[in-house]
Amino acid sequence: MKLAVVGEGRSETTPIGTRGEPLRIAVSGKGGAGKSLVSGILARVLARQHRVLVVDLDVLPGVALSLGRPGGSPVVRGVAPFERLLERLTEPAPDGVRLLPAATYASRGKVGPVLTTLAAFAGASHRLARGRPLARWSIVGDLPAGPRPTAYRQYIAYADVLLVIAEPTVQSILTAQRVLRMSRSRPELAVRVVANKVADEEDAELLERELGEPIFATIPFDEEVRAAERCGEALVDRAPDSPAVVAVEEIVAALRA
Amino acid sequence: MGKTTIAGTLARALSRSGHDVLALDCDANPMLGISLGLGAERTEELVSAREGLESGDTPHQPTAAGMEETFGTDAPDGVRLVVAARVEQVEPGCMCCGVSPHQLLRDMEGESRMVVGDLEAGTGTLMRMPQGGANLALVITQPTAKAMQVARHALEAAKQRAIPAVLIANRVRTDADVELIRTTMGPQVGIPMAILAVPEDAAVAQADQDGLAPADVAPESPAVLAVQRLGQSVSEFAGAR
Repeated sequence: MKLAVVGEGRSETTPIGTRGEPLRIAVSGKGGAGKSLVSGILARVLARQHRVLVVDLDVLPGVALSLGRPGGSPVVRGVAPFERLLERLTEPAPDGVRLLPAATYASRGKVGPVLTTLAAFAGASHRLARGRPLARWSIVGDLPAGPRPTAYRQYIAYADVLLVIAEPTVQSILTAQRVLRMSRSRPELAVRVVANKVADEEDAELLERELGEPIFATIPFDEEVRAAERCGEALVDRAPDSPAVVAVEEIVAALRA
Repeated sequence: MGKTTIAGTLARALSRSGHDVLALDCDANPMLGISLGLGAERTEELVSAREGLESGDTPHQPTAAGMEETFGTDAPDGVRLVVAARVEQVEPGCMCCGVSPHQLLRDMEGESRMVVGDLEAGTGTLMRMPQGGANLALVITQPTAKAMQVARHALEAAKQRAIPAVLIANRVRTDADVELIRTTMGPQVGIPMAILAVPEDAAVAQADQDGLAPADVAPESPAVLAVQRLGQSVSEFAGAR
């Protein structure tokens, strides 16, 4: 669905979708702010209701780890050409989620990200925005860290909402400010600030004051996250009731009417 | 992964021990000014100048000297900071577009300064460097699956470019953390290498939160002392060359 833009288009109460409708989300922020963590949990939560495509727009590994290892997930059964193409290009993740990775690393010989997938997705992103193939899919895009004009121009045309993940540190706040500044070139894109690793009310207030944007949701500091990241396990599998997972569930609910 | 904090603290330590230091911020999201102790406002001024390249408000600087002047500033302890982040709309052959810091260094004929480059997270900048494009790569990792995966690729990229590498195990809490990194990285990298541990440090975390240089607010903290020892090793390494 299209977001109704009222005034500056930044009203925090405007819902992005109605209950049960797919969501198209892009996730941004500083390196280490929790973009991949949030993207991975978002995808798994959304997958309880519909098919989900995760696009890893960052050449650093990340969202594949927070999504978890696939186990017996069903393949794409859609008959539309776009869905058949998607099955070829993507990797399976748990709960039927499909992952389109930006980078594939050859195991030997040449090391480095293969950017052809990203180039292909840039075209697909505009198609997704206009023609709406995959109309019944939710899409979650995990952006590279910081303000990236190319990513904004090319990769996230599909998105209805940009989540900016910020933690209460000066560098994270500066990054969020840079991202918010850049996002103004696309006023039709709804932007929501998510405060991560928040210890107390003061942290959330600091973020709100410095960013000049209301805090849409807060994710509390969660020691389970560190434990999951240490062993490369998905938090949503390891600790499904942990505060961070519950907070992301609330984000999904709050994005909708 | 803490690379900016370590780069800033290292640059200050090297400068204090008598080196002329040029700190190059090559990250797409430049933050080295914060770790050097320049403060948020001055750091943002330099970043705005970089953003001006994309919008056309700042003219391109085709020479190293012009670049150092336009995108540089004096930081504490006599460090010279230059923001050299790669811009996305590159002018071919232009020095200031930051395609590779090696280009810039090559242009600084007779450069005698010690250069500390805070590169893009991951392997991007390293991949654009030629053989021997740096004298030493400090690869920062943490005891997390993701950080170790990134470090493995960075070490591999350094090896392919004949750049000697040291692995820094940052934010380690216990011996088990160091051991996890040693056992995960050692065999897969397959090159002899030193692992240097920098402990998790509440004072450094607080400095990061406040946007201050650990070298200013926590000079005696365990992590800062570890980076100072790293500085001594780097200094000896440079002297031996």
